[in-house]
Amino acid sequence: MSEVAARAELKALLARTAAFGVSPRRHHAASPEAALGVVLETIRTCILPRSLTVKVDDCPCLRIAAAGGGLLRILDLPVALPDRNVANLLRRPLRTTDAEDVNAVADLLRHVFPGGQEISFDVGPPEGPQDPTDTGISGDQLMRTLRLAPMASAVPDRLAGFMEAAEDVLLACMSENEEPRLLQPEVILSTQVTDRVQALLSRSPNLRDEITEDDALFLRSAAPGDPAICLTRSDKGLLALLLDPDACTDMATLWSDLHHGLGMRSD
Amino acid sequence: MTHDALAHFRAGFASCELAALVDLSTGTVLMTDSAIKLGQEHLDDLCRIARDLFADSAGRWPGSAILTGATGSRVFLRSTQDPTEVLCCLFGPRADLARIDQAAQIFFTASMEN
Repeated sequence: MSEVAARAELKALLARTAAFGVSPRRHHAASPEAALGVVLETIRTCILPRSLTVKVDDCPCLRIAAAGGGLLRILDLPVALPDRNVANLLRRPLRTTDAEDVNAVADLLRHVFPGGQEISFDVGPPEGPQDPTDTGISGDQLMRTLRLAPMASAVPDRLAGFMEAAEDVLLACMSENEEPRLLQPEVILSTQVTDRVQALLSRSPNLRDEITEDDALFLRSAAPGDPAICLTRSDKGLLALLLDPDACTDMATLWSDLHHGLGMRSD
Repeated sequence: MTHDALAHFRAGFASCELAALVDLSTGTVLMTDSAIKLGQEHLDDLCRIARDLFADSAGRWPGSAILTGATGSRVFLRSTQDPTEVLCCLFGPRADLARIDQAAQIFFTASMEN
């Protein structure tokens, strides 16, 4: 094996090791609401099929299959719950439409996560191919049943948090039909760049629809030197932030992290 | 680019659920490699977004795009050799986008030369 191939293989191995949680983020959940909120919020972020192990104080206490923001199946429940019959909930499809299932799972979660716990997660690939008829119980439905309000995000005001963290690399910001507001005194924006940004802000309804409140679109030129552009939504509509192009992908990672908190990275 | 090359690239990233090569001129997906079987409507959707992003198919702008949010990230990279071809990848949450972008550029340039 060549040195380059060996290094690539080593990097891939390290990436995979990191993906399955060398140092998973720990959540100190003092109250039942905080504990259940952390668990359900994590389930809601599992859009693609995942096997999710929830640990309390580093001990696995619940293993589930999650996808589409919902809980598909309870795969394992290593904690003992002597006063509850949970066997009939294990390893079978669960459905939002089955009120009995929803209440039973909510009740189970309430008992497993009473608060005063340190919670962490191991996320891995699904155990096997997903059965397309497995719709699961949506995280939102479980939150409603448990009378919890969904957390809007890990950072209360994502855009303000992003702008503050990216202060050093933000060059300017622009809204539709407005002059650019320079955020660095020495920045000079060419007409080509401002025209490009205005075109992005005003054209392509499809593209605008694609950027939801949670999203940011980062665009970078193949030509070196042109500022990168981040399109996102503010309370006044679509907003373009012009960035140092060298920081573009780091800023995209930062935006992604603002949803999930800083912690384990999967690649 | 061969399918094996695309599959090898995707295997290097634990959270990469899908890698696809899209032809902007015809709006078709030329090849895909994915961890899960995605319906044609998902591929069509990915293709549509790529065409919206790279509407200026003759120009160099933009060279790459990342659409990121709560559910993960979609990374798009336009070929420097053929501006009508775009590499599209779908990642789960918490992907290291800086590392992915760098690796994708090296991979895409090398594989399009072969």
